[in-house]
Amino acid sequence: MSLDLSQSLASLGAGQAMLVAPTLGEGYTGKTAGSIAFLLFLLANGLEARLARRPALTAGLEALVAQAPPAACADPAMAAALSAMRDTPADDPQRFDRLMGALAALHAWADAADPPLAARCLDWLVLWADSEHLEIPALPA
Amino acid sequence: MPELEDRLSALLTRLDGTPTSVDELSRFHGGAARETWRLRATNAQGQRWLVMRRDPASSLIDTSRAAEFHVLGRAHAAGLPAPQPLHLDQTGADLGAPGFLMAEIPGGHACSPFEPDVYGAAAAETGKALFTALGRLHALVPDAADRAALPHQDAAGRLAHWKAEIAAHRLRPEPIADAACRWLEASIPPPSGPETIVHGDFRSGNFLVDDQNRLIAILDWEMAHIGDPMEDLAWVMDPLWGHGMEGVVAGTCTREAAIDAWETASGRTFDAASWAWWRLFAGFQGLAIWITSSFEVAHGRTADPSMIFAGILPYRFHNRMVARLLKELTA
Repeated sequence: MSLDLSQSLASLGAGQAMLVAPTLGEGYTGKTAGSIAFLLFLLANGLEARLARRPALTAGLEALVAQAPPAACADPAMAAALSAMRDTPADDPQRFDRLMGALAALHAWADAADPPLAARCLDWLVLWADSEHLEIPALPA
Repeated sequence: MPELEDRLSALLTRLDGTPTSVDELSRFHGGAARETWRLRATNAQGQRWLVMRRDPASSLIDTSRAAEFHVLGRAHAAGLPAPQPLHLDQTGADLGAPGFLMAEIPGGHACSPFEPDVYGAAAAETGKALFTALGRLHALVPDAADRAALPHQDAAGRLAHWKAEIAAHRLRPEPIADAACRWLEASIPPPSGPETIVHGDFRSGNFLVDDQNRLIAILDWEMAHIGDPMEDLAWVMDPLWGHGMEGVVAGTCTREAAIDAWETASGRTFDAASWAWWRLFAGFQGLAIWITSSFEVAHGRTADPSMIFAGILPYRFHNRMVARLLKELTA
């Protein structure tokens, strides 16, 4: 592919900002077209870097969930989350959501029963939220 | 929108008791909780500009237009910079959807909270006026009419409200919101003082300034309720609304100057411990709103870019902020 995802989105944003929005004026439709251009730039900004970070973050999440002690695995919410996770193949698009479900259940259990584990869950969530953070892009003049 | 103009002409003719025409109808951009329209009404008495707010097909938040109508009238009567409400339509028979008409406050503009330095050299004065107005709102003692019209939501009530919204609208696991909710439920603070009227969405972007950046109107009262004033102080000081500027709140003045103006105008004392709880709550509330927005978009109920934006940037901003705050609070 000649354009990567980020370049494609940014190019669409530029077309929207320079070709579509100006023809619609300063009213509701023109500003809406401008907002769509802004959204395209927002999604494009740093997209490839975010995608590149995800495999390592996912591996960290898998490792964290694998640390769940037997008492946590016996918790009904955790057991259900683990079951859903194990039923989802590694290449299934829902795999990450299943892992997050397991983490949510593990964190809830650890908050009540295992503060060090709860702290590790929170550490991973901070890393993940930092990784997903979006910077407001500079728009073309 | 000739049909809407006809509808509004008929309504204003009825209300004014004289034939009234409507033209120059235009919709404001943004404002995902209500559709907001500007219009010009002309009759034998002259011409005036009005604003109509009505329910959209899909909204960030489900709120009562009767409560908004009431609190606008209360604030306006108290001399706060708020538009005068004129006509409430609870059923949509007059406006095409439930909503209300109000007088326009001319000559103002709202600034985007995502652009830096929008209040320019006057920023400190803008902030002083803003937090003075908030203090004056919080100095009002809720009366029987307020209690009848506005929902009563203390810290526990607000938390339960947004927890239920997240439960109803989550599209996928939300471990950060869940963790925040557990901490907030376990740490509910006592009231910071007597109950007051809480604006509920008091922030940069929801007030108008003139071309000198002087505060002229506070808008978007749809989340008003009876509650704790620390809620408004935490929401307006949330970094999401901070124009990306360190060291100032709402892109205007320092936190200390804001609290000073608020304390002077309200006669209340800032409660730092309570505010710390409400600060995390603000991020949780934000997450609830952005999760609800994402739900509406994902289910094809809206394609409004402001709703899509809400599910992208503010959601990630508050996820990150809440996770970091939790780390700080549980260290």
